[in-house]
Amino acid sequence: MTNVALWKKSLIECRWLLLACVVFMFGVHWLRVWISSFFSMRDLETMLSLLPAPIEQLLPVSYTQMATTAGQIAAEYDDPVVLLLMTVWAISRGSDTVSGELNRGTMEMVLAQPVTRTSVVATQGIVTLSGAAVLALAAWLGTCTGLATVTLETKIDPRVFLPAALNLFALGAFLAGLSTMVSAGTNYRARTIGIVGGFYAVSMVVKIVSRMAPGWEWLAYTSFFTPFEPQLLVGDTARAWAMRVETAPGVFELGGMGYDSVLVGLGLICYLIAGMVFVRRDLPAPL
Amino acid sequence: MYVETHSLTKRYGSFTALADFSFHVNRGEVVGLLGPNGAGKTTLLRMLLGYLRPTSGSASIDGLDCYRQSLAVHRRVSYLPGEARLFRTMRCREVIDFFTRVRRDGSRRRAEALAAERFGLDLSRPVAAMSTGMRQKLALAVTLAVDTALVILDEPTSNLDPTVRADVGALVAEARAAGRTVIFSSHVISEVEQVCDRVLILRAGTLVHTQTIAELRRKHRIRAQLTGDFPPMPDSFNGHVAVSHGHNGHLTIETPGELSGLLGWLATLPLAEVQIESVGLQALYDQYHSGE
Repeated sequence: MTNVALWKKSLIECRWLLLACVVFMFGVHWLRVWISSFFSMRDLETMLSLLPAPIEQLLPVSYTQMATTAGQIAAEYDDPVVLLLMTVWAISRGSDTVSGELNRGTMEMVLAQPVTRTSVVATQGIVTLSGAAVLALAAWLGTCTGLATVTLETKIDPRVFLPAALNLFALGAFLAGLSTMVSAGTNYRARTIGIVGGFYAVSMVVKIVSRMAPGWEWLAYTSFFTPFEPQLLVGDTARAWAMRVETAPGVFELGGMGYDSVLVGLGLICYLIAGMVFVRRDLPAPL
Repeated sequence: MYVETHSLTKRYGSFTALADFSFHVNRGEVVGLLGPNGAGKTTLLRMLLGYLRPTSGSASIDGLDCYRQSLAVHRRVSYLPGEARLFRTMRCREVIDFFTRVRRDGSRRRAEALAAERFGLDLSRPVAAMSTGMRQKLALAVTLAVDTALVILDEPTSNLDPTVRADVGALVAEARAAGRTVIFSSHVISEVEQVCDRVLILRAGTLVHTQTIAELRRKHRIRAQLTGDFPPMPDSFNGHVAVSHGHNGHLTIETPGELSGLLGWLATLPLAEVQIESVGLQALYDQYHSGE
């Protein structure tokens, strides 16, 4: 369905962005472990206990779990810098798939070749998803390298961070799919980025409101940030690798695999819609 | 017939970009499309490539539906868009590599020879650092290096200097000599007249005239000043020769065929300041687009 030239083109186009993101991703995770070595967890727990109680509601884990070495290192997986790196990668590559090429006028010559529109979307999609996987792996390897090179208060098995890395990949997969879907229906890359950026911001606000406002908990189901809980998945092995967990008798919540399935599943549905939209639409003349 | 359209129409809301367009191109023929901006030339070419879904009508290449069987159609077509944009993140050689690998009939050696030897491009140069003309040359090289039965060139010489324009004409002639079919859209009338076998003149999305260049070359116009009475025209010229009288005794005679028979009769007329000229494509074009 796809061909080698399309793969090569896709890789050439994203190589520098991927390299930069991987280096940063690896670096910040290694750095986090190193910085954690300077803190006494007991002091940190005392410090956190002084914060107002509503702040704890915003956090995915309790102060007690945060004030552990593993909790501190896990916090890096949803650190704004890490989120930014994965978001930049996913949205920039997703938005480039159709609207980027149309915007630059290069789609005209690509589609004049004997390649299907589906193969163009599929090739870009696979490269983008592979890039997201490489970024998540770089994050985990950064943590592993940190744990191997830095002396900490307690010894931690790096495998406990694998679910967090997987959750980070799942977020990237969803954002890439969403961006590609919007990209498939628009002619301008800036418009795609604007739409996805707006959706991103609204989702973030919705998640905060659902956590803070009593009676608005249901809003959590409308935010794609709800199944992104890397910190929660570290240290809770049962939840980390389960599709769902029973938190109270008869009360079930999604586990780590459940979170990842939701995000990756939605991302794949978005890719499917993107392919259908792009195949049916008229190709506008170069802008 | 290699390329064929039947009542092909494309509408965008109330705007009609192409209306009830029917034409055909024979195998091995070089056909030119002429018309001002907005005449529908690019829309027609983009519909042949399956980029646009027809509102009604159909288009086929080698018997294949251009929209529904676009993949098979693209195997038979090499296309240069009006404003060819290439990948700015690549070098010249990488662009050639892409376009010659993406299809089985691409020849890397031929594309490199065209780009480097014929067009004088530096293959190691990044596309982002190339001028518009250089990029157009590179796009031409990758388009013409592919051995397809049909070549579609949409304004291939825009942004090119006169020397390279002549090269493009020569390359189209080479394609014709190799038995390839060419559809050539351009604003440059002299260029179309030089390279094409037949020309289609478009206006506001409709086909208004089809003309073979060989026939056009036989058409002549004689302008003169009548110095006496104009005698009746011989019967043998009726239906072939058109005579029109202007102000102050100005006379225009147009003939679609051989001049030899007409010259003898002209010698008997009381004429002065006789000018004989080929009608040419420009005059034909002006009949449909004068004042635009």
